[in-house]
Amino acid sequence: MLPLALSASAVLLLGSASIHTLSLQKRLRIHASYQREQGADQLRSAAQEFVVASRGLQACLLQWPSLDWPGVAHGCSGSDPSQLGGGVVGEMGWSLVDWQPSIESGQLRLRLADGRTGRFRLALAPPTFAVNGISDVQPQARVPQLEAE
Amino acid sequence: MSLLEVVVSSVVLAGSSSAAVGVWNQAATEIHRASQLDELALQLEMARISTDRWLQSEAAASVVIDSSSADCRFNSEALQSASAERLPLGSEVSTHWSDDPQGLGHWLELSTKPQPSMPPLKRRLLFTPAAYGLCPPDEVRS
Repeated sequence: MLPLALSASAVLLLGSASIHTLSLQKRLRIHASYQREQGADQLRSAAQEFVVASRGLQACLLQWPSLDWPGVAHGCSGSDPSQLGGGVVGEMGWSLVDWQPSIESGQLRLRLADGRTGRFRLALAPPTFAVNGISDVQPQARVPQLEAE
Repeated sequence: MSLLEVVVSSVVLAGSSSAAVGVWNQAATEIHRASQLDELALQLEMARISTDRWLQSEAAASVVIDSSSADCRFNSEALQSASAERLPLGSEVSTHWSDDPQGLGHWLELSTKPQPSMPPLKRRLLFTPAAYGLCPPDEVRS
């Protein structure tokens, strides 16, 4: 009878330990998802700041890829590409990874100071190239920060 | 089968059953809390999406922009009252709008009401009129 009792006890204890592990995993998964959303909020806020910075004299730059901005800035009178290169929003620094325009829209990639990167699609209104809409963020893999940064 | 074996077996079984019931109860509580947390996080996300969709709509443009400002800004009071009236928020979610110190736009803080044995969840986002095309177009400068 003792072996039977020991086996039954082991099954009961192992079963309950498994259920407990599953419940903890569920909670951890929800926390991780919540933290991801908070990170996405910071990216969304940075994109909103980018759009504000792209108004006025800088709007002209949006018709070119960001790599070309230093060369075309003289054609956009009074524009300053550094205004679109980064900033600080809600105590979190961000920087522009790249901007790729296409017909009536463009793809914006931003990186936060902690390495999180996200992509947005911005709707543009020619001929002014004013932004008139912004997609939700598409998070991308975290980019490790170099020590030099 | 001796009496001793019966007694020992009973004690072992009773002890392990009691321990298992304790762990099961703890797991059930944990699952309940996790489900609540999941539901609250979902309500916050729904509130964020609703705010975003509402600002994209034509209806928002006529209500929330401060027409007296030359800088294209939200009207704080109109933004707060309109969002409170028009956005379907979950019963456990509260919202708070505040001006951005740099004047870029307004921060929306979404938070859940305090729950027993659970810290409140918070989300914080910047919203600007420019990102929703709510500002008058600039002149062409190229």
